[in-house]
Amino acid sequence: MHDPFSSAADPAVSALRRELTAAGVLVAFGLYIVSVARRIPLGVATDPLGPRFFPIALGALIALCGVLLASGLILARGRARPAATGKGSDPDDDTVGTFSVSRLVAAIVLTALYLAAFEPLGYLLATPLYVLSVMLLHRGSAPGTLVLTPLVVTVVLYAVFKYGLLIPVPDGILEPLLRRGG
Amino acid sequence: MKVAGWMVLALVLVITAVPAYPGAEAYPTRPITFVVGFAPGGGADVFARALAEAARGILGQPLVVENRPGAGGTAANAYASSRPADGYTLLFAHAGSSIITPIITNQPGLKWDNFDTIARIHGEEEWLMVQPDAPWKTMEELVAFAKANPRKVRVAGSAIGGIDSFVVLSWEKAAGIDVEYVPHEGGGPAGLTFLGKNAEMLIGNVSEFFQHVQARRMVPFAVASERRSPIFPNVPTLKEKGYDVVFTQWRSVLAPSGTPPSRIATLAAAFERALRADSWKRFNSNARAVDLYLGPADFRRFLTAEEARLARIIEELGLRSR
Amino acid sequence: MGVLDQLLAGFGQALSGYGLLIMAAGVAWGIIGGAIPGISGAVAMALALPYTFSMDAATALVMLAGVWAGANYGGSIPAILMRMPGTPGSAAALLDGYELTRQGHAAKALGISLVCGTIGGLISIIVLIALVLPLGNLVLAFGSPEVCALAVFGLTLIAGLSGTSIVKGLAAGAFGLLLTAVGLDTLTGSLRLTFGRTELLSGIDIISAMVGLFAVSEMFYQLARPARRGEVVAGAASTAFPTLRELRAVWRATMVGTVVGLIVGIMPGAGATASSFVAYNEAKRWSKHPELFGKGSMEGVAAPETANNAVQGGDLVPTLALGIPGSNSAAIMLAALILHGIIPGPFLLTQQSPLVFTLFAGLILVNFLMIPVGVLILRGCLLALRLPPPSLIASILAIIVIGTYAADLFLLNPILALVFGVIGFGMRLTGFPPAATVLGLVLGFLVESELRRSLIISHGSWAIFVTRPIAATLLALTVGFLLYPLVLNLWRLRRPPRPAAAPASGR
Repeated sequence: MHDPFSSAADPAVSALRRELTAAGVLVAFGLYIVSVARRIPLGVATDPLGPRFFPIALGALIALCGVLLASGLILARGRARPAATGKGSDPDDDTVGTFSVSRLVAAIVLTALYLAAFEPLGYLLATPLYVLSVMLLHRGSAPGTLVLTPLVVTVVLYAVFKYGLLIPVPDGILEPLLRRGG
Repeated sequence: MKVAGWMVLALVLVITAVPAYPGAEAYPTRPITFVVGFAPGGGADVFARALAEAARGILGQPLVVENRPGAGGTAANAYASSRPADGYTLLFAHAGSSIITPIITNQPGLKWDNFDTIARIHGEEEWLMVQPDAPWKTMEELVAFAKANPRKVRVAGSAIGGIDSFVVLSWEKAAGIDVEYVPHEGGGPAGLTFLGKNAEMLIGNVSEFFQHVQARRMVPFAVASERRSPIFPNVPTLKEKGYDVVFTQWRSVLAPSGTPPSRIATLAAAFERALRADSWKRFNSNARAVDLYLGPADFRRFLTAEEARLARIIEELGLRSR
Repeated sequence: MGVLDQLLAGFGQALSGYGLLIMAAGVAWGIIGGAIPGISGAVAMALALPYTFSMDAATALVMLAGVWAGANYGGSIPAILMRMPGTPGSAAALLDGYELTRQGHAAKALGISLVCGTIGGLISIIVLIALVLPLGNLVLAFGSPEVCALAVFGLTLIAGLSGTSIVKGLAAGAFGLLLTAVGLDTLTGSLRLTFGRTELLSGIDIISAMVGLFAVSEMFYQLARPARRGEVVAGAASTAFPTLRELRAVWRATMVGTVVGLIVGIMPGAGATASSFVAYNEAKRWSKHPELFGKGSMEGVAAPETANNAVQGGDLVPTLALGIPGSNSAAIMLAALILHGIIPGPFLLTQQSPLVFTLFAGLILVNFLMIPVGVLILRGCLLALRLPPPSLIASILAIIVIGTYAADLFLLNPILALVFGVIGFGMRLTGFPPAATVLGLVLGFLVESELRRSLIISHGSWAIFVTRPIAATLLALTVGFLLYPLVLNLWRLRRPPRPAAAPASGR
């Protein structure tokens, strides 16, 4: 799978492209919010500002931020390229470093699948599968841990939530079985 | 958030020792799920728990409260309607969740008429209060003042779309006046605005503010009930003052559509008897609520009329989305 | 009988029988509940309530006090260890707490949070006892305009969270504010930004969004980064708790946090989360080392944690003096009080109930118990850091899913956690600060609905923010703090002949 961020030849070019993409997303998102917010029903008029004011103002602000960001980048490009991105230089910044896009996508897809299976399949079946697959994705687990962790996590959380907190954890397809047991 | 609920939750949970009566048939034989559209302790959750406790002794099986507060309470409706109609799933319902929100949000499938009616249980009355130093002694004076000074009288209450707001907006229309309604996230915050003298009037249930009425920081001015309330019998109703504004915050029990009639009858009878249980009586009077029991058929008739009325108000206010 | 005598009698009551043991159990239960994302302090208390019915009134009240104090503190354990706030109130402590964990100082951060939280809780209770009863009506001085002004004041923290680009911080903050507009509008009854999904009717669950932005994005990053071992938590995690000298160094931040927590706690509707963020910002402003904030500052853990716990006293003011609870947790306390015959409100003093003082004594005692119970639980939690990273990451993700699901039995919440995990990852990739979004999420509701409500109360006049002294002061401070660095920069620009350095840092 092509990995545009971690393997770019020139990090400055890739960072600039990334920043411009972000600015574009901001402008598009902000304008979209403004257009949606303009159609919010007015409801019962109780206050002078009304329900549309804040969403429109915030959408406009976000779009404006995108414009500022883009123009700043373009201006800075004329002078010196790399300084503008302001990322990666400071290890304590709340940013992410290099990573594999395919593994990220895999993590997202796995979690989405888990959520999709959570109610129909039931917690007791879906959870060990999810925990196991996440561990396989990370690699480097000993075989013993691979067997033990999913089971322990599933059982401990089940006990804590179902019997400790008295929360009806979804039984899914095991429901007839579990109901008879309980 | 309706906070008064918490106060009574404790009381209710503590009194559980009512002996079990033998049922008329082999139902229920296992715990019944009681779906509630409020967070644990939030909103009217506590009333549902009180009812569950009172009914447990009569049905011989516990009603297990399952809180599903998502989507403004309609997640509970959606969940309940997806469960088997075998009498083992019940839904706690009130005007907001079973009529108003489904209409406002265009979800007719979640409205009360997609469920079987079991019983209307009880309700809280809607009180209009004024400041102790209010210049008006009677409703007539107040209305005259409000007519002469449009939007000068501020009324604090809970969110737009709740019964509080319907009382005030209907009263405005009936009296031909224009007041400033100040919506809040719940009765408690509205009370703070009123006690801080940031509003001339307050609309809400009396349970949360009984202390302040006794301390004469709030003065009950009118009640939006059909008849005068036993709580403050000297306070007139809006109706007797010539404004046909009658609202109560009623609470009820529904079941998924298609529940066997014999089980509905068992449940309705159990709830009717539960209202006579000592635990419920104490709870209800502590909460300053009134019993409003209606059986399945009467309740269905009531809901038909109530929906027509509320739908008309929602339409007039332009609250329906899209 | 004087207040002190009554309080002493209260201590006697609270300590009688198994009092101490039950309080400790309550604290432990609260810490564990608070540590699970989705289980709030109110839920932990509600779950403990049935167990208190077999107890006598004094024991029941002090146990609930223990759960409450424990839950206030418990949320910060996973926040500091795993970047996963257990309660919204612990989100601010995560900013520096997790940095410290990454640097191998998890135990120090946890220790600071425990000790400072305890100090904040203790002082707030003492202030409550000394002032509440006489000054109960103080609460009523804080109406919508004041709360709105406080929230605007809190928003200035966006500048502090922005890192290298104020524009990005602003955009991230605006995004957070926007998220609070989703759902049914209280003031008009209109549906806003639900995009046809009725599941969004009650808006976006704050803790799910927070956990997504902070924790899920971090776990995804841990999974996708090149295989370097053990970064969730720095491998060589020291288990050394903070020294006395380190505790003395955060003294100033602790005091700032206490004052902020007390004031914000009294304000109706503002709550622990807002107070912890405001305290973080103020501690940074008054710190001798503001440059360390965001990079593992002990003060950055101390201030929000103190404020978060100091809210408890303020929260009880409206509860006891007016019978109107300031939070869900306070509401459960109110329920328990009423059950045992104490009617909070205007008649609290005239009732002369010794139980009120038992509750006060219990609130003081549980804060002392927090330290030993907390240390025991912390030692257990620190063991989690020894787990192999894949097991730890997988467990954290599983806890997030079931925790966010459990609160409302609503699949939308874990879905939101996933969505915000992806958004948070994208933000961190492009240098947008997720913390600014969280701040917007916390304050957005206060800013918008209190502003609009103020304008109804004032019949449409903006002058209400100038004519009311508390609101005006807060807003003047906001403007002052915003303009001060600008003016300072201008002043420096005019004097030296080298103006070129400024524009680059301005962005």
